[in-house]
Amino acid sequence: MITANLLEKKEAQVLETWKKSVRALAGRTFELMTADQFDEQARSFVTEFRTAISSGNYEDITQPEYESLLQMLEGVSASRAEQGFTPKEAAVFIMSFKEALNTYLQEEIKDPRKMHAEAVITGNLIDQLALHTLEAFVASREKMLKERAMALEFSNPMIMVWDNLIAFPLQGILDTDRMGKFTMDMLNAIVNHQARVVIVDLTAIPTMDTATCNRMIQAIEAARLMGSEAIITGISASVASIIVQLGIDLKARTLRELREGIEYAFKVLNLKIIKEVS
Amino acid sequence: MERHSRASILKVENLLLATPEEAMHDLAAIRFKDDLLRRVKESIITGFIIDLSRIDVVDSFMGRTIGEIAESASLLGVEVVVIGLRPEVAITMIEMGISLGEVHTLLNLDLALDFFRSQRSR
Repeated sequence: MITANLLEKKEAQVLETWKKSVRALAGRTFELMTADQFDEQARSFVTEFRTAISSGNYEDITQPEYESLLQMLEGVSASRAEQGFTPKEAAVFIMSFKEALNTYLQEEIKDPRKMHAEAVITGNLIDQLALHTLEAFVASREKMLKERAMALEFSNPMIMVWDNLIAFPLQGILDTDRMGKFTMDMLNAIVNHQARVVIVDLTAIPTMDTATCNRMIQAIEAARLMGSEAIITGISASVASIIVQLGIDLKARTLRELREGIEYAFKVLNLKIIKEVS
Repeated sequence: MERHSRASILKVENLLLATPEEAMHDLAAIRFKDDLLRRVKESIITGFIIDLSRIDVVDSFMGRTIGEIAESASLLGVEVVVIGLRPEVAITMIEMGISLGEVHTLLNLDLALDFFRSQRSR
């Protein structure tokens, strides 16, 4: 109970010392977030922490009395992941609370033996909380990075090359999910732009698996059903040999480069490129 | 029971433009086919244009019926062009394995008319 009482009595001082220590160990904290935000998080941590340890349980953070504290820490971790904290900077937040708390425990408890015992149990507890925070931080960070990568991978830029001619320069790793999204993007673009020819450029596609190839064929066939011809350009040697090894017929005209694709499309559209004689 | 399918069939020059109004159940699809083929006899028709832009579901029966229309029509000396297929319909048809291999598919009515014009001048 000593720690809980101490926190109630000296909350403001502990917060102040804590803040100083965070500033010393991870000064960037106050560049990434405002001091007000920090104060709010620190204060709600102290309040939740005090409530949790008032139960007398200093060891098992899986118990229900720690639930709201852990939730609060997870929230803090998620926001820090978004604010661009490094794992160290995120961990310093809880770790340095231990330091601040110990400073005041030393003042409060005169008996060194008792003081040591209290410092050890609160220290262990705070370590557990710090680990939990770090874990939550890493999880949020991973989730965030994955989402960003997905957003990047899932966008399929369309180029309006000419009237009734569109091109999709695909890049990155094509998997079936992305291929499914691409199929719908492509078919909708065909309708919206009344595209009679669609060039799918695979120059920046390093590899493709069977399922993705099959999806690609479906996209090409669906385009044909709608009255549009899909042609494929820029297949790399490795993709070409994969397609051959898999024994797949792409059922589409494949041309070496985008320019040949455009040339072919112009022929389909009865357009001619003429060099002006000056 | 309705005698006719719920599809508008318009005659343009010597073409028939058929627009099914909504998703067709099996019976309606058969009636649609019969309607179209009967109209060939009534006047000199050189081509069918089937506009599927109002259709948001095509089942395998409907897909097969369109194939049959194309095949029977070609026996009668009539060519069939399908236009206006929606993306979601196109992809479901492919997933179901309906490829309409015999049928010309074009994006819109303009292209269909161009197609028949170029056929005629040949």
